[in-house]
Amino acid sequence: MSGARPPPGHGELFLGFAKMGLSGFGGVLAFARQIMVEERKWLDDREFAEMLALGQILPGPNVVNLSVFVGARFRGPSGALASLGGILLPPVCVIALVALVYDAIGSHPLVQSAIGAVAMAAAGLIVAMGAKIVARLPWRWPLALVAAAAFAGVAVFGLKLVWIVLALAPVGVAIAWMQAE
Amino acid sequence: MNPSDRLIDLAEVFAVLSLIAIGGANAVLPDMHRQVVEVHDWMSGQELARLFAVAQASPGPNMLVVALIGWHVAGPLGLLTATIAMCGPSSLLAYLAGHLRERLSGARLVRAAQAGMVPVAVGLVIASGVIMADAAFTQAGDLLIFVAAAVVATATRLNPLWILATAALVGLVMAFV
Repeated sequence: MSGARPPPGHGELFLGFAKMGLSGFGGVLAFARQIMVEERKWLDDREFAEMLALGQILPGPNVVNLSVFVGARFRGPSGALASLGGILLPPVCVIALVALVYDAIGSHPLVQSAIGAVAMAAAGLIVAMGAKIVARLPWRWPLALVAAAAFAGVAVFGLKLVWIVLALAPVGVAIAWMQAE
Repeated sequence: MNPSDRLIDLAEVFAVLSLIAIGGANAVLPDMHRQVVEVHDWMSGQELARLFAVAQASPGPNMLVVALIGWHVAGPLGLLTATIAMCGPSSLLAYLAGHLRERLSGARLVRAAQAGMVPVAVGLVIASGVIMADAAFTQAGDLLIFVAAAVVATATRLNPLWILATAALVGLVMAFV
């Protein structure tokens, strides 16, 4: 943070996060960085990356966690609420409209076929998101095994996610702890 | 089942998912699928996959599929209940963690925790994509769409919306053949 820049107020937080929420077709994170780091200069790149990492290891939607961190940093609890409201309220209103339209025409065979295809592509986008994270990380094989085990636990063996997290998280953290030496 | 029971069920399901959604909402798609389709029988797997597609194609965090599930189960109140339940518990935790962050950042345990959790999250994310594809699968051509979308999205910086729009067109065409 450059000390010269005044911290954003509640209204700015709400509007900034509303803009992120409404821009984010197919995922908000790319827009979150662009708006908070480049456009409004609320955070520098290092701060953004740190908050993003914390948002990812904590439970809950990553972007929602990010909005809580940023709002709370600048304006305390009420700032966190303003940011949360911005990232959630406008997109929820839009998606409620989308749901209404879907209720009206969703059972038409053409719409079903189109949306079915979009569902397959959306699933492909999720795999791609995981692949991109894999490609960006400096992988060492024990951690890659942890990732493979998490994948197999869910996709192959259909285990409950909470058990996978409880079993594999300590293993991953222990490996990372030893590798940090 | 009376409406307030359904709201309580929604709140319960998504408050729990909120707290185990390490790696983001996508990481709990398999559990969401289990709760929504198998445990509570609120809709079929295909219906859930379609709601997921609608959420992906709308602006906003992808976790808003939760809002659509709430809407499907109990109307506008269901939408509100599910959204608040999915974001409330984790946001409270995030608020507390944000406070601790400044004090502890750089500590070895914190760095190890971050590095060690990433592979778990990545494995879960990729698995959730495979499970969603499995749920939405109806014909052989679907597999091609799934693989093509994954490859193009991984290899290019194309806006994902173009990939979804292309898939919609392909779906329309497939309805005629």
